[in-house]
Amino acid sequence: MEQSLNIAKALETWGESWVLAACGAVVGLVFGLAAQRSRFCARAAVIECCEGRAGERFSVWWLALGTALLGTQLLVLAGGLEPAKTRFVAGQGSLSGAILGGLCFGAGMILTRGCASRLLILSAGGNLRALLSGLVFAVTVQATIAGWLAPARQWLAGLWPIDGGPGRDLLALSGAGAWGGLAVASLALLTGVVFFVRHHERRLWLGLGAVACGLAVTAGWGLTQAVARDSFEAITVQSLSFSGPSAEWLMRVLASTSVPGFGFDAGLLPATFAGSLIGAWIGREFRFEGFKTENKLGHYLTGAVMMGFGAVLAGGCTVGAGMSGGAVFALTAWLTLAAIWAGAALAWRIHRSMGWPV
Amino acid sequence: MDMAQWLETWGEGPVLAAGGALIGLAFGFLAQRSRFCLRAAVIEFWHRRFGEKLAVWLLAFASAVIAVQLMALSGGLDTGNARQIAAKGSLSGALIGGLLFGAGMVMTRGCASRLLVLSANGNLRASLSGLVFAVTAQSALSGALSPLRAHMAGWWTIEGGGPRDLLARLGMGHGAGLLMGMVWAAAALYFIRRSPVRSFWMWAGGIGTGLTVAAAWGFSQWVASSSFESVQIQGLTFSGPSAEWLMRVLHWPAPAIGFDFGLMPGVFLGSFAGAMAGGDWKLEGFKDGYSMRRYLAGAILMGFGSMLAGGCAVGAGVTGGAIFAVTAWLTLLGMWLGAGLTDHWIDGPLPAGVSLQASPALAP
Repeated sequence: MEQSLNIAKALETWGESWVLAACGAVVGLVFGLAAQRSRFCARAAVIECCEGRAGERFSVWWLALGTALLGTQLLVLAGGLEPAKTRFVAGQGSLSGAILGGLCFGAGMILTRGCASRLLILSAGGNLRALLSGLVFAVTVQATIAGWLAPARQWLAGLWPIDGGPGRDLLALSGAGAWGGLAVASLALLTGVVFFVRHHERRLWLGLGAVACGLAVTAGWGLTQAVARDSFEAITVQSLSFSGPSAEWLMRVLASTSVPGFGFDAGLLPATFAGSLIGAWIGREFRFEGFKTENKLGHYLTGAVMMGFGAVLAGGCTVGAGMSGGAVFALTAWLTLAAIWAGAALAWRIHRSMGWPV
Repeated sequence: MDMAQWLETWGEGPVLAAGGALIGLAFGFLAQRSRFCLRAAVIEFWHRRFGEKLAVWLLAFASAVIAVQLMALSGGLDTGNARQIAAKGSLSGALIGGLLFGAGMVMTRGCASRLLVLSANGNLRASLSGLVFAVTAQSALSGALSPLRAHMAGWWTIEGGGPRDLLARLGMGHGAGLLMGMVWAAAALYFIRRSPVRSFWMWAGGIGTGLTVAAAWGFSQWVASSSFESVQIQGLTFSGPSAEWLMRVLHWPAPAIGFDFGLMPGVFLGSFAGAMAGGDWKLEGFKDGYSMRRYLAGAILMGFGSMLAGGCAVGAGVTGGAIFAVTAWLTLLGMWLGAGLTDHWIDGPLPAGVSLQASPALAP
């Protein structure tokens, strides 16, 4: 009650935009720092699995996902989040978009050597390859949302649309309900912890980093829902995502007249960068790095374009759909996550058969 | 058929775009074949190793000036209506923007138009630098960097009209302008005599590139005088069109179609055809981390500098120079100085005996 009062007061003093941006900044700072320190990376996790040596990186990813699932499901049970009102469940979605977009994104992240959030985190560590690929990613995302690629996206998404509501909610579809969700989430976290301990033994900080990545997703859901509850305006309940925010920041830099409203996403992106920069500084890992070999640039660029298009088509990146959407058990999010894995595994196979280094 | 009829059938936008595409095709092909490049010319000049690049640039500049002044003398072109002369401008912007652009083009190893030409030859470094250039230019035009640009441009402004017209200021007419073009042509011939390499494409490409600049002025004037709508006369430039194309791809509704709409793809295709004809097509990326930092920083400097100065090496340097706009000549001066100083600081003097063609400073 007291907390709710505080938020209402903060909203009155600072206004919705700044409170949301501050929430985004806090969540982004934690995520950036934790993801940098724990080298949280979906791409590395997929590659480990493909090579049949799931371990080091996969266990970090799985632990983070398990934490996000359990944390978010507990939040739902405590009444801190209504999944049915999030855009992953309530809005109209597309199954074809989720599958095709996920495949495209997965293949892209193998080529670009990092998914969208990873590119942001690597850029903060001085990696200019990641910075440039991130720019190409953002340009493609924006072109897919509202530019030249938008008709192609709409056509692909229209192949197999799905209405919002219980039909997009995995827990409602399977009849598992909230408690079933909790059981699945607990299982995921439990296996995550066991797997992590088997591979990393007692590397407490690494484990905490992975857990913090997952909790950042839960915190994003909880904070925006709390603001939405106390505000008289229509607030989007959301959590971590990196495709939409990068396009939003690109347009903010490019054209003052069409600046999108300040919100959660506006705080999230720079704070993730800052958190990751702090992480790189703590670990003495900051180092300017550019392209080394001649032929790779084409791979990076192709991958960034594929990721950008795929992310918008699927409705999120590895974190936006995979973790945030997965944590509320949205059907399309899980489809996207599965398709990202499939696309990445396929791209990995092609890479190997062509003799390209992964 | 005459222009008025075309305009009636197709409308101003498509006619302008088609003209832009045709002129762009010619520019792209000729610039690719002759390796037209202000950066290389400036470096040759400051190293006192006068060669092909300087000769090509001077030929292009001289032929642009002569052709434009001939058109003005014959009454086919009214330079007073050009944006570079008619609108209010900024002397501080022209000088500082020129310096920044010059520094940037040495760091990125190519000015804006050269990046577009090289992109079409498979040079991925140039395409990425071009993207960064376009993003910075758009940001300086109407985005996050525009307040800074407006502030710097406000330090020392100049009224449009007579004060911005170099010929009017010196109390001379277009005949004197033509004479100055002849002086530049003489300088070009002098340096051609001193150049160790002389080829067909040096002549054809240099003169042809300059003539496409003049053709753009003439064509847009032709459209403007045949149209009942107000059509802005313009020459070749690359900073504005890159920003316009970026926004066209990114955002709906797109800006209206015009000369610039056709120009960019035209130059790209022309250069591609040139590369195919000459067997120059080759996929190229970055070689090392150092060069990448350098390319990125240079592209940002060029993007901001070109918007501050009101044009790139072609847009201000040749196009604006040919109509004797005060700000354009100031920008050109800034580019030569900025590029020379940056080359001196970053790449240093060449060791004796190394030919400039083989030095890293000249690698495209």
